[in-house]
Amino acid sequence: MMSKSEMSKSEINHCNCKKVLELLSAYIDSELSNDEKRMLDKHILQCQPCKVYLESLNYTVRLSVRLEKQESYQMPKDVRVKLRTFLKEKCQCDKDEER
Amino acid sequence: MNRNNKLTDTELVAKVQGSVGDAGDVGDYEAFEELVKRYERRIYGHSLRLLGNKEDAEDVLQETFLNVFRAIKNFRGDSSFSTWIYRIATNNALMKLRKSGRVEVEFDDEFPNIDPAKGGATVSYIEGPGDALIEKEVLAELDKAVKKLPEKYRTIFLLRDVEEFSTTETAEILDITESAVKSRLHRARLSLREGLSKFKEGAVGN
Repeated sequence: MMSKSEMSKSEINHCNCKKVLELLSAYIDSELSNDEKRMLDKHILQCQPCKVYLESLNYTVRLSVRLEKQESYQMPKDVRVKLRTFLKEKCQCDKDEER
Repeated sequence: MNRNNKLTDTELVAKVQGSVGDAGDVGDYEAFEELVKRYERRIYGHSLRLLGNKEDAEDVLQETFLNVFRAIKNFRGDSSFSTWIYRIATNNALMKLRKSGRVEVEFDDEFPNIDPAKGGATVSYIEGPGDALIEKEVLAELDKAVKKLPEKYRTIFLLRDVEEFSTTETAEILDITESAVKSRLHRARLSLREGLSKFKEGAVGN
């Protein structure tokens, strides 16, 4: 059974973990105040689960940018050609109407 | 010789608007074509990620550049051209999504009940110069998880973490507050991280 002091330490840590979780995106994006960053750095040093959680969230963010270059989202050549034909036709109509 | 490719977006916009240089209609249109060339790939990819359908993405691409051509005279440069065109494209895509009647699922709760101390924090296994095949699989899994995000979270995630717009630019594109961008982005990232974590656990379990 936990002693009173151990229980309160555990509660504080748990509370901090929740707080830390709320701040992780801002931490990754360097949007925290100096005080918040200090608090989070200190917690991460002492709390292995939060450290691993931060690493995994950071990894998710870094991986996400690669979706931009993913093959399935690349524009096919025919779409490019059709866009040019569409725009030439429509934009020319607009200019003719202006005249 | 094409000198337009050396110009900044702002300079090209000014040429299309006819406010600088001696370009007539033809020159103006060439400057517009340079803007098309610069943004078509990104706008198509962004629309496809938002809509998940190639035909719809192509429609949005065409509508967006036509909207740009028609409205560029009134573009005053209060925001960057990039932010402006993404705003048009995102609005077009979201309108299409809503018209299609696709039912958007919402998150069950505003904030997930996650406790880092209770496991699940395991995605870092894929870090480092690991296996390219595994990385490809993980990326595909992330893509699947993104598609499952509710629209208002997906849109913000795509603008911030995929297109790499800043919080301020994303707020401008979507006409919402920066704090809404931050909180929804965080919620989206946590959800995606959970998705990848479950995938990893499944991979280890097999």
